[in-house]
Amino acid sequence: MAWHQLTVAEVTKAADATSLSFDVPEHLLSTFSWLPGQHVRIKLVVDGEELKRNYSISAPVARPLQITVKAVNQGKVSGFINQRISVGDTLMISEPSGKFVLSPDNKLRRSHYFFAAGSGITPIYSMLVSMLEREPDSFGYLLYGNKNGKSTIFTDQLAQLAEQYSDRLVVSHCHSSPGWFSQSPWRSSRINAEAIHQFIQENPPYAQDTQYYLCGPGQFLPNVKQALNDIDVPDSRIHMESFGAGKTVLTTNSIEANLSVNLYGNKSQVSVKPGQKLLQAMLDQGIDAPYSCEGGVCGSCRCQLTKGKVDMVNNLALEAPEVEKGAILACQSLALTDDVAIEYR
Amino acid sequence: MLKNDVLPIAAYTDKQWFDLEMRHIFSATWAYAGLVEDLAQPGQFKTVQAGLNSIVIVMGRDYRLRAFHNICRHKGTQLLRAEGTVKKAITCPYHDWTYDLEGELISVPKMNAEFANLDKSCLGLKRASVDVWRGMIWVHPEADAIAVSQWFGDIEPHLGAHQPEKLVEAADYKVVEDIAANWKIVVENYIDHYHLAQLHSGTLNMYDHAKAEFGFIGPHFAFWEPLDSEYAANLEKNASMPLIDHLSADQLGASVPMLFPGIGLGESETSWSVFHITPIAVDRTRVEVRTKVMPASDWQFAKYGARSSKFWQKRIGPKYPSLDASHPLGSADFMQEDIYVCEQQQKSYQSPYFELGPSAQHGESPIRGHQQVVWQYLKPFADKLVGDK
Repeated sequence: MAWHQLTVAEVTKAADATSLSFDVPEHLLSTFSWLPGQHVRIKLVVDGEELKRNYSISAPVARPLQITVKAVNQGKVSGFINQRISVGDTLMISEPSGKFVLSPDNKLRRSHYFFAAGSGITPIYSMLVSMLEREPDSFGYLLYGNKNGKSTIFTDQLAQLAEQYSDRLVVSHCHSSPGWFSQSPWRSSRINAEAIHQFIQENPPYAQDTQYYLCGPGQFLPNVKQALNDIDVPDSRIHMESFGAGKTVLTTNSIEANLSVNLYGNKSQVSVKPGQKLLQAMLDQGIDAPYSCEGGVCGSCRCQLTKGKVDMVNNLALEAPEVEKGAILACQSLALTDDVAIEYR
Repeated sequence: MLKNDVLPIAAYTDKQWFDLEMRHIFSATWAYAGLVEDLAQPGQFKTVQAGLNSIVIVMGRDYRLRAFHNICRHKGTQLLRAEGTVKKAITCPYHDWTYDLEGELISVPKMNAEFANLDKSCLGLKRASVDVWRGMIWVHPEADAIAVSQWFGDIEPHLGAHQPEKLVEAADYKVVEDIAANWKIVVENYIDHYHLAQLHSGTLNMYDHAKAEFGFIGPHFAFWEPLDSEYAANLEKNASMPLIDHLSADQLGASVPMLFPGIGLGESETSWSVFHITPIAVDRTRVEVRTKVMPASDWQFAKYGARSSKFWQKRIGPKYPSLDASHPLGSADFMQEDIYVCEQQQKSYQSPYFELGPSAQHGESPIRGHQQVVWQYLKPFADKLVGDK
C-alpha cells in the first residue's frame, strides 16, 4: 500500500466528532478520486507507537477529501485526531479503497435505503449526497440511529438535505435514549427489526430498483440484514460494511451432529454430516419421515426441536411465533450443535 | 398538398403488420400496467398482457414490486391469473413447482427421484422490469430495460403539472370499450387536432382548439390547449368538478399527450385520466379509461355539478341533434363520437375502392408523426411486410 503525505486544510468539530479536509496536490488528484462509501487508511505515531486505522471518506465525490472521526472512549487514534490535529499538520494517508460503494449513475432510477448507526453515517453521508447530486431520478431513504440528538453527526447537514431534496429524500432518526428536552426523534429505540419494518412501510420505495446500504458497529449489520431478509429483501440488494467497535458475525456453520428422532413414538439415532439437512440424513438412514416439497414451502416435514440448535436455510411455511416455540422444517434444517433432538407429534 | 402515404392501407388491415407490431413494438417497450394503488399491500399481485408477454407483478413484504414472465420454467404453464394475493411463494398449478418472490425455484416435488442433478438455480423465473412513474405502474419484458425515467425523460417536461398520487380514482368513471378498428386508427383519432372543432363541436368546446400546441418528442406526442375564454371567465362556478388544486392559473387547460405505444393521458383542469389502448387483433382494439379526481366529498361533487349544470346544458350537445341519443352522433358523448368514426374508417379500409385521401398540413401532422414512429420500429422487418412500403 502506497502512503502519501497530505496536509490538513480544514478542521471542523461537531457532535463529538472532527472532520478533517485535506489538500490533495494536483499530481495526486487521480490517486485520491473515490467512490462514495470507500475509505482511506491513516498512519499515525501516537506517543511513540505507530498506529493504523481505516476511516470512511465522508465527502461526496468531486469535493475536497474529507474524513469524519468520532471521539471514542480510549480510542488512541480517534482521540489524537479529535484533540491534537490542526490546520497545516500533515498525515500519512493511503489511497481510497473498499468495496462498500454506491456508484451514482444518472441513467439509473433507484430507491436507495440507508441504515446507519453512530459513526456508520460517514460513508453513508458520502453515498447519500453523491446520489442526490448525481442520480437525479433516484430516491433516498435514510434511517439513522444514535443515542440521542446531541451525539448525532451531520444533524444539520441532513436536515438541510431533507429540505432541499424534499421530493426525493426521507431522513428519519432513531434515538436509543433521547434527551428529555430535545426534539423527539421519529422513534425512540435502537434500529431494530420493528423500526426497520415500520420505516419501510411508511416509506415504500417509489422507484422499484431498490438497494440497501448498512453501516454500523457490532451486531448492527447481521440484525439489520436479518430484518430485511425477513421481509423478502434478497442478499443481492444488500450492501454493508462493519464499522466501529464490536465484532460482526455473519455466517452460521453447520456441523456434524447426532440426531435423536422421535417419529410418532418410534425413537432412533441418526448421524448428520456437515451441510446435510436433517430430513436428508433421516431418509438416507431409512427413517420414513414425512415430507413433500423439500423446498421449505409446504410444511409437511414440520417437527418440533426439543434439543440443540438448527439453522433453516429457507422457511416459507412457518410463522415467526411458531419458530420461537421450536417448530422447524426438517427439509431445511442444518445442525448447529453436536446434539440435536426432534419430535414428530 | 400533402399525401397521406406514410403507411400503406395494409398496415391497418393485414395480420402480418399486426404480428410485427405486437412483437417489435408492444413486446419491446415499457407497457402501462395500471395505477400504483392497484398494488398497495405485500403479497398483492396482478398479471398484465404486454404485447406477446404475460407478466406478473407482485409486491413483496419490503413493498418492492417484482415482475416476472408469467411462465413456469417446467412446462410453461401460466403461474398466476388476473389479480389476487400470494403468501411468500408462487406455485404452479400443474406440478406444484414453487418459486420464491425473487423468482428462484425453491421446490420441485420428488426432485431427487425424478430429476437427477437438477440445478434449481438455473430455473428461476425469467425476470422483467417494473417501475412506478407518475402514479402509474410500468412493466418492460427485459430484465435490464432502460430506466422508465429515461424512456419518458424528454416528454416529461411537456406533460401536465398534475400529481396523480394526490388524486383519487373515480371508480364509476372507468370505461372499457371494444372498438372494431386497428389500434393505430384509435391512436390517430386521439392525437388528431383537425377533427376537434368539427366532430366534437358540441362536446369538447370548453378548450380553445385554435391555441393548441402539439408535436412529437421522440416517439411520444405532447398536446396542450388552454381553456375556452367564456368557460375560463367564471371557472370556479362553471367547473363541473372541484378544480385540481395544485395547478397554477396558466396550467389550467387540457394536456392530452399520447405516450408510445398507445398510452394516452387526459390531464385537465378537473381530472386526470389514462386512456390505455390495447391491440387485440388487426381490426380490434380494447380501450380502458381510468380517471382520477380531487379527493373531495360527494357533497362537494354534487355542489359543483349543480352549480355548473346550467352552463353545461347550454354548451354541450350532440353533433346531430336530430339523431336519437342512442346514436353516437346524437349522444353528446365525445368518446362515442370518436369510436363511431374509428369503426367507420376501419370498415372503409377493407373496401377495394378505398384510397387514402390528402392529409391536413397542420391539423393532421400528428397522424403522420405517429405513422413515422411506427414505421421506424417496423422498417428493419420491411421484407416481411405486404403493401406499397
